Amino acid sequence: MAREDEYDYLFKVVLIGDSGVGKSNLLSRFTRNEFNLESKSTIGVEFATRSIQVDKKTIKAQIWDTAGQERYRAITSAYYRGAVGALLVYDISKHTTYENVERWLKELRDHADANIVISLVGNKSDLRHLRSVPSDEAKSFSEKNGISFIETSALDSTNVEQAFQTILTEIYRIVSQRPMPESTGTQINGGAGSSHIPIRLPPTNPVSDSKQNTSCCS
Amino acid sequence: MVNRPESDEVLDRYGFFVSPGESHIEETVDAAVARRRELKWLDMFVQWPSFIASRFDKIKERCRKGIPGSVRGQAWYHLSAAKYRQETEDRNCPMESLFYYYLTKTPDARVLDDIRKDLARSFPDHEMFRDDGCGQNSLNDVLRAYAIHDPDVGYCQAQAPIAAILLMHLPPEQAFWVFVQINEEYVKGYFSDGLTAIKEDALATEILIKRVSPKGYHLLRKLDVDPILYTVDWYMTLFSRTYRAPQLYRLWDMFFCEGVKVLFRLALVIVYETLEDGPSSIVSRAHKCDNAMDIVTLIKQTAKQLPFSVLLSKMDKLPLTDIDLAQACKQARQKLNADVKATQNRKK
Repeated sequence: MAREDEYDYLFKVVLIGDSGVGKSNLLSRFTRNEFNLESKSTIGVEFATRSIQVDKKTIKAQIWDTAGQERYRAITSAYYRGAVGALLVYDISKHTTYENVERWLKELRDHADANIVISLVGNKSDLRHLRSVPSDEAKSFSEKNGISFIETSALDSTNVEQAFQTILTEIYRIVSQRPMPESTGTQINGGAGSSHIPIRLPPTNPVSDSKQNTSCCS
Repeated sequence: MVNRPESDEVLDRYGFFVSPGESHIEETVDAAVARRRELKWLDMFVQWPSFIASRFDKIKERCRKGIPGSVRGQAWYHLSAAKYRQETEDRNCPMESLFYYYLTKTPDARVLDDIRKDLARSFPDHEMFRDDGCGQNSLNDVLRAYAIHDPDVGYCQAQAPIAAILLMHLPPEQAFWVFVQINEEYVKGYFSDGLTAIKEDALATEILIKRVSPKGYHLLRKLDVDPILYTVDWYMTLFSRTYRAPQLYRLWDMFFCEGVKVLFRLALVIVYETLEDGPSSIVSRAHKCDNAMDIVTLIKQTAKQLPFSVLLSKMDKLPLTDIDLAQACKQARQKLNADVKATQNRKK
């Protein structure tokens, strides 16, 4: 497609977490530097992209923003396919959204690639006076689970850039250290003018889904 | 920057805040024609049972032409049989109004919390539902009442925009009964736990795409696009996140008369236009897409870009019978059941 589509790596990252924690605004803040107090609830999936530079390489991030209400988990496997990163978002002012993090992790274990890079994101850090999840608690939880942790505010922009940069860089470190597999004909076919390298995570549960395509953005 | 509603927004005749350039998308029906149609509808309401029994084709034709705005709410209330349903249910209710009886009950705290989160997030671009717009209380009532009416469904996020559109046309009690009919007669199971009915209809859509647009089907398969990705918000919100007035209302006029097949036909036309039959600029872009996100984004953009009148006329010409549709749904159901069984066996 357009020239802006020239990239070295294409990473698919999903935004998950309870309804109302601010996933859509994190997405719009990162990709368009916008915040909307009156955004509509997300039904199904919405996407946006942004490219960043790491080690002089262009990384194009495809971010998939999903519906948070519990019953939509019945269809989330359609969204996780091919994702190499997940930002698991909760609201620091609503403890229940933090309590549900455990269930979202299980969701990822059941449906996503086992090597998916996960980052825990405590959003709405601007609501200091309403905080109900202490940073230390979330930090030690994430350490225990071997995932990174950051607090953000999509409203005042605090750490939003860092949250995405961190996860994308971490994914980059992992995939750039691995030799690229030979083409099997199921990777992304090259779009006009694109010079990207298809990214593959090693297969984890070969019997799942009968999908042979594990490229980063299938 | 924090985006507040733009100060140069104007209110269109349907109550939506739009940018000045957008307000020209209005129905251009001559006043005399509109008045004539209005009278025809008022006449039909008076003799509804006999009209529906003996002259359904006439009603269908009139719905396809578009119901006049002044009688649209009442027409939906009649077409969906919500009027009949309400009268029957209220007759057996000691309080004489089942809706108001439901409102004396309190649903589960989690349901209430889910509803509360969405009251301001359904139509922030409509005067009734923006900020503390008067419609938010009614929306709360309709959704709460439904959660009591069907505790198994409770509340599902996609329900709020549907209820809100109804409240733009009808008082809460009547809107509630049309809402019940949508949930139980038109798209039964769409909002239930497990979303089985939505999965079935997504897969059935893909089966039909294979038939209507083999080229399009091939491309979608090549990019491994799950039909869930483009159908969920279309079907679950009855296209209310894709279109707004007046296009959406025209679509709902047909939906209330002809049922869920209207949604399928529109979905199929959009996909067919994007991937095979539409303007060459769109189709060639589609065939250059190299991943699922890009193609789904293009399909969704095309849905909004193509003139609605073109989509409507193509829906009509789509070579697809009700039997084809029923067969595709049956096939989808069988496949999903087989998949569930296979997964269970694997786990054993």
